[in-house]
Amino acid sequence: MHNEHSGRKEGPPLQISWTYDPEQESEGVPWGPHKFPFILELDEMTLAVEKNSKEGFIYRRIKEEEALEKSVLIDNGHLTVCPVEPVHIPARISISLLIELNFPVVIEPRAARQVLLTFPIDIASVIKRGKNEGNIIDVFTFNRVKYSLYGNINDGVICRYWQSGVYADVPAINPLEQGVMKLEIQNPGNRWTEVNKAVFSAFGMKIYYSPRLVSMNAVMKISSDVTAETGFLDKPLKAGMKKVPVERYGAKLLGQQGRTVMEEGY
Amino acid sequence: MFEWLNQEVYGNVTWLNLITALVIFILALVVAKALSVQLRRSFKDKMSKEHLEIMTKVITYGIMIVAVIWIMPTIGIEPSGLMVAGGIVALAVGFASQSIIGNLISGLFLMGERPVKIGDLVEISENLGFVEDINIISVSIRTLDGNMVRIPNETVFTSSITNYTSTPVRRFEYSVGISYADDAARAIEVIKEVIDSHPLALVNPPPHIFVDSLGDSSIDIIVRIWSPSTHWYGVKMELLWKIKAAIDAAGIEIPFPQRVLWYGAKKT
Repeated sequence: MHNEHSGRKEGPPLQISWTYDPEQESEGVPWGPHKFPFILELDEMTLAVEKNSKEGFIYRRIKEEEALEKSVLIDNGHLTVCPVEPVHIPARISISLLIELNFPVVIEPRAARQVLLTFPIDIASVIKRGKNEGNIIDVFTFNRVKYSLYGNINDGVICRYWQSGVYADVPAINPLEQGVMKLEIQNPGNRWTEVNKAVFSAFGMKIYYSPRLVSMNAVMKISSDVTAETGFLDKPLKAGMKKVPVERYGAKLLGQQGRTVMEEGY
Repeated sequence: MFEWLNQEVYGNVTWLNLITALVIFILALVVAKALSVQLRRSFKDKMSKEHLEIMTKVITYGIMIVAVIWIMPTIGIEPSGLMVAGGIVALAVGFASQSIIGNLISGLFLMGERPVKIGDLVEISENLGFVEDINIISVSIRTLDGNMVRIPNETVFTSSITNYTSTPVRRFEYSVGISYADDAARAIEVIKEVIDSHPLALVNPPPHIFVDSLGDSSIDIIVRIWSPSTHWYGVKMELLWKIKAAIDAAGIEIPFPQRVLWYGAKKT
């Protein structure tokens, strides 16, 4: 079930529960915004913002033996649970995502072809009050996190690692765990080329989400036998999707344009 | 009332000249300090700490040098005169402060060559620690037990430097012994599962797990894992015990050195 109960008056915490069931059509992930206080159960995880006995609220995230608590000193507000760039866990390891394809994609010369890939979703709890800019208070994921090196040992780049299939249509995936990336591979050269992996910078990732789908739109341009450039397009995969309310890696920093030059093969 | 201001202190330099020079100097100091604070604040998230430090130092020293050259005529020192005297002074200073000049020149070479950066984990002349500051005379290192060590640039320049974070990844190794009665292939599988479950045990370069030797008391399995240079020590500390626990849970024995003694039958 999906609840946007921003107009709800304060009372006992509203309890919302959602579990992914590939066999059944559901309303999709209840991303929010959720007005304080509330208890949100997503698969095996519980997220709650409850009134603190003394002041403000207390934010809780509990999954099996792992538990996180934060005191939120605010009179009232909303919490949106939404996807963020998948490079947050653990923090400050990398700003790049490497997607390795389960099988290579071969592209003919002077052609551009579109494929669909999956990518891991990191989920942020974004706190917001009124028109203030949202603030990420927590990031978590339902995926197994792995990192890998792209390039050589001397000057390669550490990347969040993800293995993806290659699809023509949107695959059946848990929208809490995986998103779908539309990747346009452009091969302007005169030779056939084979793509095995793609590296993307978190700077400039444009993530859109809806209860049933999280998406990104990317382009990969082949420059030579070992070089390619990747970047993002700021448009959703389907109409009606919302852009994520916070971009921790908005392309604001010097020298970061959201493009990645892959110089060590693709 | 302020006639004393025009009173000469020495040569043609009046109190007014001295006060003006002092005010300009203090103003330059304030401007340099304010600018360096502002630069640090503005570019903190946008530049590496090392580049930011170099930029703020160049700007700060630049402002101070311009200010000093500017106030020189005011206090009766002609910069052109200094140029003539400069050679002689440089010679005298050179003899008097050989080590300082040596450090200074080494500092310039180090800034050009950049074998270490601020934040790197390095070992220089038996000092292992993180580089905290690199300036024109010395390099400051915070050792792993928290002490600050200042190493003159000349020493840094002439010593062998081991930089543990100059490459993005680093490999570490364990040796795990299992008993001869256990299945080494199963043990390798269990170790591989533990490595796969750790986010920072890298997929590529891949880990290597293999039987290295048939020891006196155990079959020795070597485990080689690559991890980000910035986090390798934490991963190394974490994984060994997890491997031990997983091997125990799989019912595989990690033997201790043992010797089997056979006694002959008693003579009757």
